[in-house]
Amino acid sequence: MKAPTPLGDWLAATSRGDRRAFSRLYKATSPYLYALLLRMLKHRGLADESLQEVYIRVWQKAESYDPERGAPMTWLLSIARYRALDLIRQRSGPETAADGPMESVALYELAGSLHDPESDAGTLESLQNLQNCLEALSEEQRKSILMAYYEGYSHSELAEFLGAPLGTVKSWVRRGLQRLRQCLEP
Amino acid sequence: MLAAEYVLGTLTGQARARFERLLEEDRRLRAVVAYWESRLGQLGLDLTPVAPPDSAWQAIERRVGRVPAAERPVQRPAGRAYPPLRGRLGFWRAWAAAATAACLALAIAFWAVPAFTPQAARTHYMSVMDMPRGQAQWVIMFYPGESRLQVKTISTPYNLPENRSLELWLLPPGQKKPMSLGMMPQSGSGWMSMPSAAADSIGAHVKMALSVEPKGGSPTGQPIGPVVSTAQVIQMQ
Repeated sequence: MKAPTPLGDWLAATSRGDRRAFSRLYKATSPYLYALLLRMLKHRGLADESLQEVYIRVWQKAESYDPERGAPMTWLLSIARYRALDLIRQRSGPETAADGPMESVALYELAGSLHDPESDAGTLESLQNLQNCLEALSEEQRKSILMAYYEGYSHSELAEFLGAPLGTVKSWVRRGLQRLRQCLEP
Repeated sequence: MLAAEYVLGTLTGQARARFERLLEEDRRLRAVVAYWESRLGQLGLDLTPVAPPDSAWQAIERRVGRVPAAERPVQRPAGRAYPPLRGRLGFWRAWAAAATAACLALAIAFWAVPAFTPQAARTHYMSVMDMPRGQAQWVIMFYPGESRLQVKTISTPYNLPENRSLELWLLPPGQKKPMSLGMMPQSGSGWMSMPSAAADSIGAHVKMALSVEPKGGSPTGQPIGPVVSTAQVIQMQ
């Protein structure tokens, strides 16, 4: 079993009501969660509010974190992401996508650098693997998956934005995920 | 691949709701979801971090400052089965049920108990969450302007299985989706912090509900477990 990283320790201490550990956890992780919320919500006020809600949730639910289910950072990011998805789903549908930002293709290229606060060799390797495996997908599959992740687009919003039939988009996503999985676990 | 699409977010609507119900029961499925959260989560880490404003931390600190970490439930052997309301639709119909007469009777009885210091002559709100057999369990008080709830258990602590938590929900008027107010303590009294958006939505006749969720609350931010209690918020004074 891996030695626990500081994040894991701080999360465990947070679940025991340790506010100092919680503030350290926040300091180390909030810039990543905030970046994701800004990216997905595209609205600073909404991102600010969501960030608070997310960390209140972290404070209340720290006890439910199970190390076997993934790294602390993953757990934290998931809470933020599901919250953002929830807010995105509440907004109006495809018309918003059409008015959405003119994303250049470059944004759906992956950035090369890794900013993982845990600086874990295992995690660095994971991101490299993911990048390689995404590169191996078709452009449509990759774009669909990345837009779904970063923009929170639904199938119909993807179809609208990419100008493709709904069925086609669904199979891009499904096939893309299948190939990703096969690539990640050969 | 449903798990992957769930994590990605392309599984939506009824299908997503069905999947969340499955997730509640199926441990292996939860492991697959965790797998995809780990893998796809790397994309989140790929973004350039952005420092949040200081005001965000200050607000968080204010809210958690008043609240001890969620009170640990009394360790009890696996409890009796709670009667879930019929399926998913049952959850929504449950919102319509309000035991107002029972609430008022209990409110009168409650004021005889000196545990709370009532904030005199100030409009505030109360809700009494009672259990299916009519034995009241929790009284919740809210004072406008605060982003916290005062919660008191006034009967035997609810017999909750070890891997479960009770989550409190608010259904603001005109909204379809309930907002989580946090985990209910199973005994004693204390404060629960809540998001300011929820605080702004509390008023007379707004409904609250309690559901039984996985330990630590629903992982999805929406209720996935059975509702065991509902109540209307009543304005006091």
